[in-house]
Amino acid sequence: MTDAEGDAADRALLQAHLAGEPHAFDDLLGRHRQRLWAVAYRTLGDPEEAADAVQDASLSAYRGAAGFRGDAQVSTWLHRIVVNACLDRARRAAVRPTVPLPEQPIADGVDALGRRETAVLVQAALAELPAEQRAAVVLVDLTGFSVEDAAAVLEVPPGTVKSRCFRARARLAVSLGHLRNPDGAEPVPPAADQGGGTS
Amino acid sequence: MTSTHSHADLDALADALAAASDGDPVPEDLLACATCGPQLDALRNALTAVADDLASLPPVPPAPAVPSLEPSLEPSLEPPKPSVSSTTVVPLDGRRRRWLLPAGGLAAAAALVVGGGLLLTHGSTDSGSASRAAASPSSLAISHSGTSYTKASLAAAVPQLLKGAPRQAAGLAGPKAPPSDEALATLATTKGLAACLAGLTGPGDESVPLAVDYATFDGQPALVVVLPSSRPSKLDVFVVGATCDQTEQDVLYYLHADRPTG
Repeated sequence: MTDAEGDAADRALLQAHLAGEPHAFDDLLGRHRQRLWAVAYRTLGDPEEAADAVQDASLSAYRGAAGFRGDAQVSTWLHRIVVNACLDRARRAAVRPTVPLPEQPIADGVDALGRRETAVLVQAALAELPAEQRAAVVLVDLTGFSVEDAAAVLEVPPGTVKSRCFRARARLAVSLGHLRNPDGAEPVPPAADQGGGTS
Repeated sequence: MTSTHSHADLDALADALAAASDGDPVPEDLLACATCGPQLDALRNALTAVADDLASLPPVPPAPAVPSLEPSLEPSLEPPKPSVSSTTVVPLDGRRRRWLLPAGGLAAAAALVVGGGLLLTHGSTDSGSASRAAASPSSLAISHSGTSYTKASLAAAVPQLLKGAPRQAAGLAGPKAPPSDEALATLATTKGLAACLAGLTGPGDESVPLAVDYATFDGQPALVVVLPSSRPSKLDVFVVGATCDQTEQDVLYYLHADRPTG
């Protein structure tokens, strides 16, 4: 099924829901459930919080279906609601990393650590990213969105998504101990600006 | 981005690499910076390692089962009935409330005032299985604050809600003053409030509401209801509209909030 065919099917389900057809909205969510869940899971790093965010978003979408403007794909609209639900939670600082980041960068990188430990550290480092950067890198690097599709979800220009991704990766490089100044004395200092670029 | 070469920060370096990935030239100020070239090279190499780390994350587990949002009859989705002695709420997936569950099979709720307390009786087609949630006078704060809540402000307001919102906090003999907005008049009656709370808690849910506040949400007349969650560290906060009753809760917003400590 092509993207266009998939979106047509989504729109049909949305229209059916608005017309009062039982199960139509559940069917619509079911078509995207795993990817919506993946975005929330990667963004929040906590299965419980992710499940709550998806539920919040599902309810918002259910109640706000009539307000869908149709100027984006239905799946984009659904992902946008999930991302916003996740960012709301992240901004409220209600979500803490499951495992705190080490206070110092890991000088020798994470190669020596086992796969599980690496995953924990990476997830914790993700949780420390500014929310907008985290959303961008989750969509593009961890969920397989193109920069353009992520831009549609986040309602920002593609250049902003790209900037946020590179800034997020740079911060991850510092957090995970991959980045030090050439003389090895100090890591490259992170910038004071916590936001993403606008280019 | 800083214009001082020697102080090019991490974001500036990242932006330069982002531009370079599009084939754009590295900004001249970075090219002229003596330390920036090596820093860019180091960052470029580090990003490769980051990509490897991100790729090493284990796969996302399957999405958890979620309750139907549709008000349809799905017998297989009915929550298990707690035993008479049980005090644990067992909603659909172990922690979801009745308002996300199929509404079929419910009959009218009865609300009684007993000894100054609000007794919520969940009617059922099987009267013998009716369950109830009785709120003691000391446990439910009823307020008419008129607060203009929003999604952004609600979580921060939870601690105050539990203490009883500013203008009036009452015990449990029912709302003592009409809400400022007439739209909430039905919910301001003991019977109306009880029906709404019974709808939110659902049959078999014996948890006791902690607080309600007659207010607005995003400019719309709304009742904020705080309920204990099945997770001790959490609270279920419902924002319902004026038509909330046992069969249709008119949920405007739901928040799974952290329970305040201390």
